[in-house]
Amino acid sequence: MKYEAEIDGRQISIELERRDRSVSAMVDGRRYELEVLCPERGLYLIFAGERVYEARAWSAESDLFTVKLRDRVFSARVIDRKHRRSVADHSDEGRQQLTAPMPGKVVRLLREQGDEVEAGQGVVVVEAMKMQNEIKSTKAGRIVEIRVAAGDTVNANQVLAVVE
Amino acid sequence: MFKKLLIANRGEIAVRIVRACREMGVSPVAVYSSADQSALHVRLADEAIHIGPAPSSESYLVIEKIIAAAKRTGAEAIHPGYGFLSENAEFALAVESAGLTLIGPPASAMKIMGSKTSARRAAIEAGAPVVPGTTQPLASVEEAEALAATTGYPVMLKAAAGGGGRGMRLVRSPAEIASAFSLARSEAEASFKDSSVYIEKYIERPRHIEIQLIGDREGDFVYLGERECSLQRRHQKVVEECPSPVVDEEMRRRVGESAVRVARAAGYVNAGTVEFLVDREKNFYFLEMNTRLQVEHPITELVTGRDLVHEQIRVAAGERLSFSQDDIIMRGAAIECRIYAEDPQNDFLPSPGLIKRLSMPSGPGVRIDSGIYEGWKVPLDYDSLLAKLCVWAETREAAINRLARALDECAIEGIQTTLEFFRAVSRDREFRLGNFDTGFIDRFLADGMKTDNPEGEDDRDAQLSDIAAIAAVLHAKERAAKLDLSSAQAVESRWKLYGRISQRR
Repeated sequence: MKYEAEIDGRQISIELERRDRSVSAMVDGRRYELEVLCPERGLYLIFAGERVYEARAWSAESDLFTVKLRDRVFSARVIDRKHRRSVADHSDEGRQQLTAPMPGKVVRLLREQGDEVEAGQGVVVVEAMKMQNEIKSTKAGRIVEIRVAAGDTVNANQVLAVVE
Repeated sequence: MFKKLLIANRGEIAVRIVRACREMGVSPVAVYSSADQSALHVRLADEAIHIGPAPSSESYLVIEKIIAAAKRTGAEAIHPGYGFLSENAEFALAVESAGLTLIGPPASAMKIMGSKTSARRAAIEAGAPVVPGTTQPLASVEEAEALAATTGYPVMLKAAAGGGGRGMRLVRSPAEIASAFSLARSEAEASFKDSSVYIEKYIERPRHIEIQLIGDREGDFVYLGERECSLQRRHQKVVEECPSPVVDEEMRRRVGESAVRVARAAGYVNAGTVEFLVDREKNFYFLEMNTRLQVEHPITELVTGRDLVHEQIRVAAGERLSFSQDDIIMRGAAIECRIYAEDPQNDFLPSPGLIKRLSMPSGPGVRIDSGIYEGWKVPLDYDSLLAKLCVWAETREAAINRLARALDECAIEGIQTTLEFFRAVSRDREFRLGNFDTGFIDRFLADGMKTDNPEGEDDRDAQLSDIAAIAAVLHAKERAAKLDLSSAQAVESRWKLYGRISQRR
């Protein structure tokens, strides 16, 4: 099966076939014949000839993965051709959703619905672990919607406000 | 010795103190907020008292609730840990008047050291060198201008009640002082409800070292060497080591004796830390005294072989110090990394949440002080310190190699942590050489945490990156298979339901 992936920001293409323990892979034209064991969930023990790699993989978001390997931590995005869909869900032209970069509590609103904002102006303040973070509008426009109130608990990536 | 001791704290430090209690045959009592009922410090205690809802202002910071919990369980002493009420003189008085013992200094010493200006006065009286500047709050801009001119630019304006870098302003020229003065005052007022500001000579590229000491009630003091704490981000320590790469035996004695004089002058008892700035000519200046156990105390324990928490408890129980100055021998080198729930790739934003998997390093010379476990949900209400990784080895170089090794064995899944950042620091050339000052981390981050690859490493990197990509694809496949399976089951059950509905018709 063919995959497109992005590893630490670099685009690569991978072809991979797996039959039980044996995996044949072609990464950007480099061929790997591997034996792969899975001693724990999310842990891949990969034998490349006599070289052995312990890789730990976990997912942060739907198609974004973190892989820890020896002294390195990689972030990888895997797009399989079959499940490929438009990622432009919430980035339609002219509309901008302000999202919480971290889970936390809304401390206060700096703007109200209907306010005009400049690019870089703060709209909502979210606090977690004694640190406050101002969520700024990345473009100029009007706040058409504020979806949270002071005191609300929010999740990471939750939409706080919409600027048009 | 006490039979029962209450720990007025949470997280890794509460666990640290529970361990000391167990080792000494003292029964540990935990307190917890609603967010912490299944926290590690509660799991390890003999008794646990609920002291309120998650916000610390309604739980860990409420003096009456802590005292009531001690009374109710019959604990004779309270260990405050660090943070929360640990440097609160009012709390120290309340503990005393309730007939309990605080594992820490008397309220009077906390008060002297609690204000930067009175601490400076105490240090000057004790004959300790201080950064040139004032000991009284500045009355006006004119006074600030006059004093800055005599001290010589650059100068620092600092909040008298300050800490953690707030209410501090660097002033490089006379043109900047008026606006800096009003900014520092308003920031000090907002942060500490006290607008007093004083002036100090600014030390360029200083190092930050601190002396660990402990005193008993008879007035005997011992200093346990220094810790190097120059690696800071936004004035918060992130990596500490013991001993400092720039302090020799002779300097250690001079700084140590100076620290003891300051502590003695303040009527200090129990464990405390005196902080100094060191300039490039190795002149040292008193900065402040922390009147509690420090986060980074384990590295001193590793190098001196003394258990500071045991000693704290013994001294508080009225015993004499169990060692003298001559008994303190600095052996090898130790380094601590503070593992925070923060995302180094995203401006160190906090990252609370569920710890899905946890694997911690072990082996020779590794010590972990942790407040977390696999399956624990890190609350968003408290500071982001998860655990401390400390290593010890015969030399500084060996300790750094061991640190890099231990960091590579570490994995915390589910939340973002500063582990990756430490991996980069431990391989940085300047860090390895011991060439740094308090500005190191900011410069390191500005350079994008880049480490210099030894020769031939590029090939290895390419291969590692391929293997990582393969692992990511394998994981994605496995997850997709699981998802397909569950959605297939969902579809099937809908069909079954539909079938039943049709049959009934």
